[in-house]
Amino acid sequence: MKILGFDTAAKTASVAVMDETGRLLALSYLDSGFTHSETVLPMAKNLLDALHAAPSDIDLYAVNCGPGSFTGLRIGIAAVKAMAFALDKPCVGPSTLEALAWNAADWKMPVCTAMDARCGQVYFALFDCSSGEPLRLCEDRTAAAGELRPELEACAARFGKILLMGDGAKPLVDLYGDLCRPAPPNLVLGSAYGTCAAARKMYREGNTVPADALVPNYLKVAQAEREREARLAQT
Amino acid sequence: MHCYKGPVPVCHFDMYRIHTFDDLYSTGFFDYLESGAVLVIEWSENVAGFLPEGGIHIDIRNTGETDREITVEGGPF
Repeated sequence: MKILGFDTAAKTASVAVMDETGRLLALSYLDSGFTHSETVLPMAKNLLDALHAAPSDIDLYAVNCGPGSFTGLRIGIAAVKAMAFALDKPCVGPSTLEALAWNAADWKMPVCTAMDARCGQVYFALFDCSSGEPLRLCEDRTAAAGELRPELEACAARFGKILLMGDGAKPLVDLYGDLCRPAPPNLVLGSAYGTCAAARKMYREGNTVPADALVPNYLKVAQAEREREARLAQT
Repeated sequence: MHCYKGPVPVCHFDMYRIHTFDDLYSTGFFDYLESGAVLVIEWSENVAGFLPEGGIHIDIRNTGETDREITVEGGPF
Protein backbone atom coordinates (compact mmCIF):
# COMPACT_ATOMS: atom_id res chain seq x y z
CA MET A 1 0.00 0.00 0.00
CA LYS A 2 1.38 3.38 -0.99
CA ILE A 3 0.30 6.87 0.10
CA LEU A 4 1.08 9.97 -1.98
CA GLY A 5 0.88 13.10 0.20
CA PHE A 6 0.94 16.79 -0.74
CA ASP A 7 1.54 19.85 1.41
CA THR A 8 0.88 23.17 -0.33
CA ALA A 9 -0.80 24.98 2.56
CA ALA A 10 1.91 27.59 3.13
CA LYS A 11 4.99 28.97 1.32
CA THR A 12 6.77 25.63 1.07
CA ALA A 13 5.69 22.83 -1.25
CA SER A 14 6.28 19.21 -0.38
CA VAL A 15 5.32 15.82 -1.79
CA ALA A 16 6.04 12.43 -0.19
CA VAL A 17 5.38 8.74 -0.69
CA MET A 18 4.95 6.40 2.32
CA ASP A 19 4.15 2.70 2.60
CA GLU A 20 1.67 1.01 4.95
CA THR A 21 4.31 0.46 7.65
CA GLY A 22 4.98 4.20 7.90
CA ARG A 23 8.28 3.93 6.03
CA LEU A 24 9.08 7.07 4.04
CA LEU A 25 9.85 5.96 0.47
CA ALA A 26 10.41 9.36 -1.18
CA LEU A 27 10.28 13.02 -0.23
CA SER A 28 10.49 16.29 -2.13
CA TYR A 29 10.56 19.75 -0.51
CA LEU A 30 10.79 23.18 -2.12
CA ASP A 31 11.01 26.64 -0.56
CA SER A 32 11.60 28.55 -3.77
CA GLY A 33 8.88 31.20 -3.87
CA PHE A 34 7.62 29.69 -7.13
CA THR A 35 3.89 29.12 -7.25
CA HIS A 36 2.80 25.66 -6.14
CA SER A 37 0.74 25.32 -9.33
CA GLU A 38 4.01 25.12 -11.27
CA THR A 39 5.96 22.92 -8.86
CA VAL A 40 3.96 20.20 -7.10
CA LEU A 41 2.96 18.07 -10.07
CA PRO A 42 6.53 17.87 -11.46
CA MET A 43 7.70 17.08 -7.90
CA ALA A 44 5.16 14.22 -7.68
CA LYS A 45 6.11 12.94 -11.14
CA ASN A 46 9.82 12.95 -10.25
CA LEU A 47 9.19 10.98 -7.05
CA LEU A 48 7.01 8.40 -8.79
CA ASP A 49 9.53 8.06 -11.65
CA ALA A 50 12.34 7.53 -9.11
CA LEU A 51 10.26 4.81 -7.45
CA HIS A 52 9.43 3.28 -10.86
CA ALA A 53 5.79 3.73 -9.92
CA ALA A 54 2.78 5.14 -11.75
CA PRO A 55 -0.06 7.24 -10.29
CA SER A 56 -2.24 4.11 -10.52
CA ASP A 57 0.17 2.35 -8.08
CA ILE A 58 -0.85 4.83 -5.37
CA ASP A 59 -3.56 3.45 -3.08
CA LEU A 60 -4.34 6.60 -1.08
CA TYR A 61 -4.09 10.27 -2.06
CA ALA A 62 -3.57 12.78 0.76
CA VAL A 63 -3.40 16.56 0.96
CA ASN A 64 -3.34 19.02 3.85
CA CYS A 65 -6.81 20.56 3.68
CA GLY A 66 -6.32 23.60 5.89
CA PRO A 67 -5.94 25.90 7.52
CA GLY A 68 -3.46 27.72 5.33
CA SER A 69 -2.98 29.98 2.35
CA PHE A 70 -6.12 30.35 0.21
CA THR A 71 -4.31 29.82 -3.08
CA GLY A 72 -2.01 27.10 -1.72
CA LEU A 73 -4.84 24.99 -0.34
CA ARG A 74 -6.79 25.23 -3.58
CA ILE A 75 -3.80 24.18 -5.68
CA GLY A 76 -3.01 21.11 -3.57
CA ILE A 77 -6.61 20.01 -3.17
CA ALA A 78 -7.41 20.52 -6.87
CA ALA A 79 -4.36 18.45 -7.86
CA VAL A 80 -5.23 15.58 -5.52
CA LYS A 81 -8.93 15.63 -6.40
CA ALA A 82 -8.10 15.43 -10.10
CA MET A 83 -5.70 12.49 -9.76
CA ALA A 84 -7.84 10.54 -7.28
CA PHE A 85 -11.01 11.16 -9.30
CA ALA A 86 -9.40 10.04 -12.57
CA LEU A 87 -8.02 6.87 -10.96
CA ASP A 88 -10.98 6.25 -8.62
CA LYS A 89 -8.76 6.17 -5.53
CA PRO A 90 -9.68 7.13 -1.95
CA CYS A 91 -8.49 10.42 -0.43
CA VAL A 92 -7.84 11.87 2.98
CA GLY A 93 -7.51 15.54 3.89
CA PRO A 94 -5.78 15.86 7.25
CA SER A 95 -5.64 19.14 9.15
CA THR A 96 -2.54 21.08 8.12
CA LEU A 97 -1.75 21.69 11.80
CA GLU A 98 -2.05 18.02 12.73
CA ALA A 99 0.02 16.90 9.72
CA LEU A 100 2.69 19.42 10.79
CA ALA A 101 2.74 17.92 14.30
CA TRP A 102 3.34 14.43 12.85
CA ASN A 103 6.74 15.64 11.59
CA ALA A 104 7.90 15.94 15.22
CA ALA A 105 5.83 13.18 16.84
CA ASP A 106 8.87 11.00 17.55
CA TRP A 107 10.38 13.77 19.68
CA LYS A 108 7.74 12.81 22.27
CA MET A 109 7.30 16.42 23.37
CA PRO A 110 4.16 18.54 23.47
CA VAL A 111 3.92 20.27 20.09
CA CYS A 112 2.34 23.63 19.29
CA THR A 113 1.73 24.12 15.58
CA ALA A 114 1.23 27.74 14.57
CA MET A 115 0.84 29.16 11.07
CA ASP A 116 0.81 32.82 10.11
CA ALA A 117 -2.82 33.87 9.54
CA ARG A 118 -1.78 37.54 8.92
CA CYS A 119 -2.74 40.68 10.83
CA GLY A 120 -1.17 39.39 14.08
CA GLN A 121 -3.24 36.19 14.05
CA VAL A 122 -2.07 32.59 13.97
CA TYR A 123 -3.74 29.29 13.07
CA PHE A 124 -3.06 27.32 16.23
CA ALA A 125 -3.32 23.83 17.74
CA LEU A 126 -1.67 21.87 20.55
CA PHE A 127 -0.77 18.18 20.60
CA ASP A 128 0.59 15.75 23.18
CA CYS A 129 3.15 13.57 21.37
CA SER A 130 4.36 11.58 24.39
CA SER A 131 3.07 8.35 22.82
CA GLY A 132 4.87 9.02 19.53
CA GLU A 133 1.60 10.05 17.84
CA PRO A 134 0.03 13.52 18.04
CA LEU A 135 -2.89 13.45 20.48
CA ARG A 136 -4.98 16.55 19.97
CA LEU A 137 -5.30 18.86 23.02
CA CYS A 138 -7.49 21.50 21.31
CA GLU A 139 -9.32 22.04 18.04
CA ASP A 140 -7.67 24.01 15.22
CA ARG A 141 -8.50 27.67 15.62
CA THR A 142 -7.31 31.21 14.97
CA ALA A 143 -5.97 33.31 17.83
CA ALA A 144 -4.07 36.53 18.36
CA ALA A 145 -0.41 35.59 18.87
CA GLY A 146 -0.32 37.69 22.04
CA GLU A 147 -3.13 35.96 23.93
CA LEU A 148 -1.94 32.35 24.08
CA ARG A 149 0.01 32.48 27.38
CA PRO A 150 -2.62 30.88 29.69
CA GLU A 151 -3.10 27.93 27.35
CA LEU A 152 0.62 27.42 26.73
CA GLU A 153 1.36 27.73 30.46
CA ALA A 154 -1.22 25.04 31.27
CA CYS A 155 0.18 22.76 28.55
CA ALA A 156 3.82 23.26 29.67
CA ALA A 157 2.88 22.65 33.33
CA ARG A 158 1.31 19.33 32.38
CA PHE A 159 3.65 18.04 29.66
CA GLY A 160 6.88 20.07 29.86
CA LYS A 161 8.56 22.43 27.41
CA ILE A 162 6.61 22.78 24.16
CA LEU A 163 8.11 22.33 20.68
CA LEU A 164 6.98 25.11 18.34
CA MET A 165 6.41 24.35 14.66
CA GLY A 166 5.07 26.20 11.64
CA ASP A 167 5.63 29.53 9.89
CA GLY A 168 3.86 31.25 12.80
CA ALA A 169 6.38 29.89 15.34
CA LYS A 170 8.75 32.86 15.27
CA PRO A 171 6.50 35.41 17.02
CA LEU A 172 5.50 32.77 19.57
CA VAL A 173 9.16 32.02 20.36
CA ASP A 174 9.68 35.74 21.00
CA LEU A 175 6.58 35.93 23.24
CA TYR A 176 6.74 32.58 25.03
CA GLY A 177 10.41 31.53 24.98
CA ASP A 178 10.12 30.55 28.67
CA LEU A 179 7.49 27.90 27.79
CA CYS A 180 8.44 26.87 24.27
CA ARG A 181 11.45 26.12 22.10
CA PRO A 182 11.51 26.36 18.31
CA ALA A 183 11.88 23.22 16.24
CA PRO A 184 15.21 23.07 14.34
CA PRO A 185 15.32 24.65 10.85
CA ASN A 186 15.08 21.30 9.04
CA LEU A 187 11.85 20.51 10.89
CA VAL A 188 10.09 23.77 11.70
CA LEU A 189 8.04 24.05 8.49
CA GLY A 190 7.40 20.32 8.23
CA SER A 191 6.99 18.39 5.00
CA ALA A 192 4.57 16.03 3.31
CA TYR A 193 6.07 13.27 5.49
CA GLY A 194 3.64 14.58 8.14
CA THR A 195 0.78 14.57 5.61
CA CYS A 196 1.44 10.91 4.79
CA ALA A 197 1.80 9.95 8.48
CA ALA A 198 -1.51 11.65 9.36
CA ALA A 199 -3.12 10.09 6.28
CA ARG A 200 -1.91 6.61 7.23
CA LYS A 201 -3.63 6.89 10.61
CA MET A 202 -6.85 8.21 9.02
CA TYR A 203 -6.76 5.30 6.55
CA ARG A 204 -6.33 2.76 9.37
CA GLU A 205 -9.31 4.32 11.13
CA GLY A 206 -11.44 4.14 7.98
CA ASN A 207 -11.65 7.92 7.51
CA THR A 208 -11.14 8.09 3.75
CA VAL A 209 -13.39 10.03 1.37
CA PRO A 210 -13.98 9.93 -2.39
CA ALA A 211 -12.28 12.70 -4.40
CA ASP A 212 -15.44 14.77 -4.77
CA ALA A 213 -15.89 14.96 -0.98
CA LEU A 214 -12.44 16.46 -0.36
CA VAL A 215 -12.92 20.13 0.60
CA PRO A 216 -10.70 22.87 2.00
CA ASN A 217 -11.12 24.02 5.58
CA TYR A 218 -10.52 27.78 5.62
CA LEU A 219 -10.55 28.74 9.28
CA LYS A 220 -12.21 32.11 9.76
CA VAL A 221 -10.08 34.88 11.21
CA ALA A 222 -12.94 36.78 12.88
CA GLN A 223 -10.68 38.62 15.28
CA ALA A 224 -8.88 40.35 12.42
CA GLU A 225 -12.07 42.37 11.78
CA ARG A 226 -12.29 43.54 15.40
CA GLU A 227 -8.61 44.47 15.56
CA ARG A 228 -8.90 46.36 12.29
CA GLU A 229 -11.80 48.41 13.63
CA ALA A 230 -9.78 49.23 16.76
CA ARG A 231 -6.77 50.25 14.61
CA LEU A 232 -8.86 52.43 12.30
CA ALA A 233 -10.56 54.08 15.30
CA GLN A 234 -7.12 55.16 16.56
CA THR A 235 -6.18 56.91 13.31
CA MET B 1 -6.40 40.42 -9.72
CA HIS B 2 -4.02 40.29 -12.63
CA CYS B 3 -0.27 39.62 -12.60
CA TYR B 4 2.12 41.02 -15.19
CA LYS B 5 5.33 38.97 -15.45
CA GLY B 6 8.68 40.69 -15.98
CA PRO B 7 11.99 41.45 -14.24
CA VAL B 8 9.84 42.93 -11.46
CA PRO B 9 6.42 41.29 -11.55
CA VAL B 10 3.47 43.62 -10.96
CA CYS B 11 0.19 42.37 -9.52
CA HIS B 12 -2.88 44.60 -9.79
CA PHE B 13 -5.68 44.10 -7.25
CA ASP B 14 -9.04 45.83 -7.58
CA MET B 15 -10.58 45.88 -4.09
CA TYR B 16 -13.81 47.60 -5.18
CA ARG B 17 -15.98 44.70 -3.96
CA ILE B 18 -13.70 43.64 -1.08
CA HIS B 19 -14.75 44.72 2.41
CA THR B 20 -13.97 42.03 4.99
CA PHE B 21 -10.92 40.01 5.99
CA ASP B 22 -12.50 36.88 4.50
CA ASP B 23 -13.12 38.74 1.21
CA LEU B 24 -9.48 39.77 1.17
CA TYR B 25 -8.23 36.26 2.09
CA SER B 26 -10.23 34.76 -0.77
CA THR B 27 -8.59 37.05 -3.34
CA GLY B 28 -5.29 35.29 -2.56
CA PHE B 29 -3.86 38.72 -1.68
CA PHE B 30 -1.82 37.44 1.28
CA ASP B 31 -0.14 34.85 -0.94
CA TYR B 32 1.42 37.65 -3.00
CA LEU B 33 2.81 39.74 -0.12
CA GLU B 34 6.22 38.04 -0.03
CA SER B 35 6.32 37.02 -3.69
CA GLY B 36 8.75 39.79 -4.68
CA ALA B 37 6.11 41.40 -6.90
CA VAL B 38 5.03 45.04 -6.69
CA LEU B 39 1.39 45.02 -5.58
CA VAL B 40 -0.75 47.81 -7.02
CA ILE B 41 -3.95 48.01 -4.97
CA GLU B 42 -6.91 49.94 -6.31
CA TRP B 43 -9.64 50.88 -3.81
CA SER B 44 -7.13 50.23 -1.02
CA GLU B 45 -9.34 52.22 1.36
CA ASN B 46 -11.68 49.21 1.39
CA VAL B 47 -8.97 47.05 2.97
CA ALA B 48 -7.29 49.70 5.13
CA GLY B 49 -6.23 48.10 8.40
CA PHE B 50 -5.41 44.78 6.74
CA LEU B 51 -2.49 46.04 4.67
CA PRO B 52 1.09 45.72 5.92
CA GLU B 53 2.89 48.85 7.09
CA GLY B 54 5.34 50.63 4.80
CA GLY B 55 3.12 50.89 1.73
CA ILE B 56 3.27 53.81 -0.70
CA HIS B 57 -0.05 55.63 -1.10
CA ILE B 58 -0.81 57.21 -4.47
CA ASP B 59 -3.79 59.58 -4.65
CA ILE B 60 -4.94 60.59 -8.17
CA ARG B 61 -7.49 63.41 -8.31
CA ASN B 62 -9.36 64.61 -11.35
CA THR B 63 -8.81 68.38 -11.53
CA GLY B 64 -9.96 68.97 -15.11
CA GLU B 65 -10.64 67.25 -18.39
CA THR B 66 -6.95 66.57 -19.03
CA ASP B 67 -5.51 67.45 -15.62
CA ARG B 68 -4.76 65.16 -12.67
CA GLU B 69 -3.25 65.95 -9.30
CA ILE B 70 -1.12 63.03 -8.11
CA THR B 71 0.05 62.83 -4.49
CA VAL B 72 2.55 60.16 -3.47
CA GLU B 73 3.12 59.46 0.23
CA GLY B 74 4.95 56.83 2.30
CA GLY B 75 7.96 54.62 1.56
CA PRO B 76 10.92 56.80 0.45
CA PHE B 77 8.63 59.70 -0.51
